[in-house]
Amino acid sequence: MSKYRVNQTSMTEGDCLEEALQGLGHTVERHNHAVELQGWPYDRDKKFAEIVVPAHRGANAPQYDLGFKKQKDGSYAALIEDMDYKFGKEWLGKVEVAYGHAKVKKMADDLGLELLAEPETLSNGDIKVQYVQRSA
Amino acid sequence: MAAEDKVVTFTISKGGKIAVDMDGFHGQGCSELQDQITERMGAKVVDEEVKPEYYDDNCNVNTLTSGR
Repeated sequence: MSKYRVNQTSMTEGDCLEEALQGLGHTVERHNHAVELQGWPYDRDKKFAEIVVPAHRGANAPQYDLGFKKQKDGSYAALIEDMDYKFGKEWLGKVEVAYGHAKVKKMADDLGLELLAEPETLSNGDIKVQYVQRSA
Repeated sequence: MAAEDKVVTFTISKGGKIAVDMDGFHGQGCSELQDQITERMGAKVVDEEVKPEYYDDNCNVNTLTSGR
């Protein structure tokens, strides 16, 4: 028997999460209301999500729909089918880093910071990026 | 890059932590930008390290680590 695992995350901004998933090469669907995920056919515990990485669409697609469901506290929970073993904690960590990078880019734009050098991926998977605030 | 330009370095880690390192700031400039970054990121400062330069009137440098 297979079922969805629920992974709590600290991600709260849908736009940045969508950008992060697309940056990792995934097809992404956004919905105003949570839609049912197409999981293992015999799983009776239906799951719903507003942000969906649909199954079998694109090179990096999961075997079953993968979703991010908005929680009451504003954060997203990742809903990942057991059989999609490629989408475990390591993958979710990459999503979190890409999400953080998307947030930093958005914030830097808002504050008028200028990109100093292309982002660097460190050996542990962290991303280092430098901006400059030009003197007036 | 002009000598007066200020450099902000972000290191983004798993679990939603973002470390911010600021160099070349003067007076209150560092704290003001730090506050703006924290607010716009919707972040909570979980750790803050003040470098020796902080105590120099002409140079104010901070490192903070924020969640979310």
